[in-house]
Amino acid sequence: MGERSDEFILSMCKRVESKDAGFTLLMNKYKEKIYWHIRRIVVSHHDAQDVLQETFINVYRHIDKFEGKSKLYTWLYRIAVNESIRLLNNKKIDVTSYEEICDYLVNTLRDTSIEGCDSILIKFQEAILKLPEKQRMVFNLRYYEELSYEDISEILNSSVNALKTNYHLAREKVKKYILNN
Amino acid sequence: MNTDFDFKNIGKRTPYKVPDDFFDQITEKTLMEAKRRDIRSRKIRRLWFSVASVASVAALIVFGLFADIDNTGKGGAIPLDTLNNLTSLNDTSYENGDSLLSPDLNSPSGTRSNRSEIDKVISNMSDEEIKLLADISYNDLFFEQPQQ
Repeated sequence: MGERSDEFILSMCKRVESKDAGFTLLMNKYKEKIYWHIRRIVVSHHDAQDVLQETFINVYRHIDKFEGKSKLYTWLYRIAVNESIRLLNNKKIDVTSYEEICDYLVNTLRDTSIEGCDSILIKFQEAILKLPEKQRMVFNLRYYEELSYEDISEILNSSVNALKTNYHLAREKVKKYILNN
Repeated sequence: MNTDFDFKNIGKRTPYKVPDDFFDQITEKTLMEAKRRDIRSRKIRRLWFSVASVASVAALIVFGLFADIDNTGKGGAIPLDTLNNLTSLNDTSYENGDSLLSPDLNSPSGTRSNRSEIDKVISNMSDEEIKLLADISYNDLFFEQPQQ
């Protein structure tokens, strides 16, 4: 059976009798993409699992109110980004600055990455984690998810021009980090 | 030192790993948790609605009591004798160890009418509402329990 369209899934989710089946289709279609996006933001698997669950629980609770003004997947990414930032902000209660959060994420990356994997992959992720929050979000959505600037604009609620600038800056910073370390 | 870096060398590879059966189980787990929270939030909403209903009834009773007292006086003021009767009723009730909610047939007509209004409202309430109202009164810090 081929993958169901978003319209079909949405129509199922909005009917009480088929809500659970529709939600299952929705989650099966998007869970891996959303998980990997969250994972690149929060780094640890445990946190990514929590954020993924919170994201889809929010989807389950509010799907009736989704009016279709934006695309379904941009709505999902938006909830995932907000939940990820919320988790990182909660961690900021324990640490005091954004730099400390970055250090925490980099340490988690070193502790949890695949043993014996190519060191350039770790360095590349470190470079991304050291970017300012906005640049990091744009970089992940553009580089890994290959989303259009228009879609990213819907997700991050930012102008296309600002996003293009941020992506360009992020690429330059990543490149510089890799070459200097 | 290298002077150039090609993003194509990295591609989309990451150094992250995921437990083997993670993606097989996460949908069912999430659906169960979403449904559990949905039921819980509906229960909380229903409880709030019940409490709000009972509070509204209680507020209406209190409002009705004072509005009735106010209507017995002229120009919106409570007549002095009504106040005196109320005060003496309270004193007597406490002295005799009776509850203020017990009907007092010897009390002045204005107060008797208030009592019968309260009785009427209470008789229209369901057992659950009466129980909830009693619980709220019992747990109210400012509600003095009658002495045994």
